Amino acid sequence: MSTEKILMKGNEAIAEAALRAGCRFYAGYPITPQSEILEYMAAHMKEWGGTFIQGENEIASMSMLWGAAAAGARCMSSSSGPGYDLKQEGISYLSSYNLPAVIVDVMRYGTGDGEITEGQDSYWEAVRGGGHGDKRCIVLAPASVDECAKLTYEAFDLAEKYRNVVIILSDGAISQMVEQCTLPEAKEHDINKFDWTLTETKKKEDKKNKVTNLDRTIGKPAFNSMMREKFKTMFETEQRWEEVETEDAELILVAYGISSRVCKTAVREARKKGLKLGLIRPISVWPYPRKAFENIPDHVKGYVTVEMSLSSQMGEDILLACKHQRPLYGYLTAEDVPEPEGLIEYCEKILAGEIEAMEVL
Amino acid sequence: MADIILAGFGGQGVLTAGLILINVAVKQDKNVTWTSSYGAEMRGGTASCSVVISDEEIGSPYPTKLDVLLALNEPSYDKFLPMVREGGTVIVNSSLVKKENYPDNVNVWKIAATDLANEQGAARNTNIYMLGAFVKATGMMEKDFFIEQMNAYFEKKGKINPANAVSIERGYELAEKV
Amino acid sequence: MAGMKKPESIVQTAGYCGGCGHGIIQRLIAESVEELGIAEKTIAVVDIACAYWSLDALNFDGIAGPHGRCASVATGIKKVRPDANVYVHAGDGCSYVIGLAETCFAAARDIPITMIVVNNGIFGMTGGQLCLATTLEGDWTVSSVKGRNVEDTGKPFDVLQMLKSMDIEFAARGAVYDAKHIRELKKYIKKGFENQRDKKGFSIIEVLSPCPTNWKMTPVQAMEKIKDETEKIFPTGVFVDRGGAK
Repeated sequence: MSTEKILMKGNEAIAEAALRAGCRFYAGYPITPQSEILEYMAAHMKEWGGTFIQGENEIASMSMLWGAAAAGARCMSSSSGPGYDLKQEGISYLSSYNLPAVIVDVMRYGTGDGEITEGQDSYWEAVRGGGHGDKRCIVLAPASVDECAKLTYEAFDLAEKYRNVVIILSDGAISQMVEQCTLPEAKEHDINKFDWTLTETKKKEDKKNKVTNLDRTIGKPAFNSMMREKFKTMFETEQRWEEVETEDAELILVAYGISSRVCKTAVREARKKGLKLGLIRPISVWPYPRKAFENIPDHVKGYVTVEMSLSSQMGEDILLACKHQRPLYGYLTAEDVPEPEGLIEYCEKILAGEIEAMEVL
Repeated sequence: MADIILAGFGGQGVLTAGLILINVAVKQDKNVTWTSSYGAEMRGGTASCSVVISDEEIGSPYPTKLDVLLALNEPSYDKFLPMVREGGTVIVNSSLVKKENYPDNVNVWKIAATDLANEQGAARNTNIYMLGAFVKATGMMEKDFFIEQMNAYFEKKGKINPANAVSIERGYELAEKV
Repeated sequence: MAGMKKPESIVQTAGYCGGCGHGIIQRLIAESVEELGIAEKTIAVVDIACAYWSLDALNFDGIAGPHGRCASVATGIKKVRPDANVYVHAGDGCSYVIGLAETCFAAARDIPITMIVVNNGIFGMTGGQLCLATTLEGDWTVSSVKGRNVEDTGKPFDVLQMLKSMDIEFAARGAVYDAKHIRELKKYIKKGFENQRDKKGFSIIEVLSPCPTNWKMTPVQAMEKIKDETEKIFPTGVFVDRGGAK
């Protein structure tokens, strides 16, 4: 199958790209607004010769995934909000065992009792890690349907490259949106390609593999230095971001996912009025693209974090990235998708000195 | 090029109409986005979807100012009319939207979509009549090309129905500018 | 018969307490897969609790934990490696309490794995707390120091009876308190592996097993307790046999 450009929903693009990346095991539990991923896998996984399981709960689904990952398969699960909370046990175990897997979190806002809305309230949970353990997950945040496919496809390679969990941090808006999408070429994954997996093919004299906390098998000093090196390499190598009109910007908006889409419109509209806005759009939110905040030019007067949360979850990362050299402002809209007009007005007020810089709580 | 909202009751085919639009638009090499409202708005009696068709990269998929509104019922008309730009186009399903006066600063087109669909014996084609009127009112897409691409869309879904082309033709023909 | 020769699959000592039943069970597992010639295809799933010791003791590919989720982990492995001989060695806390849902749904899906559940009526690794599914009424544990009060905790329940309503391959309960029962238990365990070899369905073998350390008993007293008390509540024998391996 060659690459092709088609119209798809964000969720479908994630599922299709996963299948094309060689994902042959999916287990999950229904929850809005990620259910299309599960439904797509239910409909299509068999055609690809893989296994789809609708789990009895998130925890069981993650454990099945964990078994499949330990046995060498490319595997994925997905959830939202409270369902993603329940995945933390599995993510912690996958991490402590250094098993590769791709987990999708389609964020929504709050518990969603009675009403499901878009949101970006799970940044901390995904980026800082909701579960226990001394770990770092690579977290990629698509801002278009095309990127849903591209990043998911790549996530499987990254997961294996580092033997690490990779999280796709989508949101209710991106997940439900239909756009053009270029689907990557389908490839097969060889479940026997690694020497550390559980297999049924070893010979009597072969060393048997124990999949457990890695420090038990390679020893603590080796494990510790390996992990330090891994965190460092992932941090240095995997920073991804996009910049829009930053060359002469007075204020730089910082946003990912659906918020970044609104910011693109805001930058364009603001410039029509002579207001010089720019945008830094983190694509990897861990590692955070700190390189985008190096050598800040004089024309930049401050950063504006635009998030669908009230607690400015990403704001901390911006302050760390710019080393507190510029003030940070927050346009924080919780369950409402931000509107470009309101954002532009807010930026005008910042430049007029009417808005106080934000403290990150 | 165009920021569009299609809105009506759940069941009037509003979401499908939006999907047909973007499927035709991509064949014109446009960039498109389609988003549907879910949650609060659905419970407010309206189902709606936003469609953006553009030559440029699309930023926000949620337009706040509209070039075109397709209102399939009166609550949708009332709700979304204030978002329509000066000089924009409003297409109303006059079977259900019965206003005595329409604003002067926008171009209003009427089509009795529900009645016409019922007359045709294709009650679910209200949305297709609206699209016929859309093609006429906006001139964004050439009619025969639209029909061809719409049929291709349904064909992919295995739902070919010759009544659809008839509905577009009739909607095109009978749409009236107020 | 295997006699007293140590199975080759046992490659190191395990850390079980004196008088523990886990070691007997572990040995029966090793003997069975060797006799069936499937040791090299075997993948062990052990719980993060006392069964964890068998991970290193047995020369199989193996994976441990998360506590309670062994049936799910085994499901994942078996689905992507259907030719592997995948078994679970876990306790009653794992399989019947925190992981009851996982056990039941692995059974409901009729996943062709062999699940060996050690019923010792107590949470051994964490220091002897009450096991909701299996601690007998009135029994002392560190979290029921006046004896299990069923008004507070509910009564113990028989999971194999529950599983009888599901379309599974094989369910049996054995015990390790005397040679006769150990021989019987070995037949059950072997049957569980044969079912898997022959591509049959879900097999579960529960084992009544002593925990002298946490029961605060001598090994002999503990065995007698199983015979005189536990087996009365949790009878041994075959609960389900769909036909399976011949």
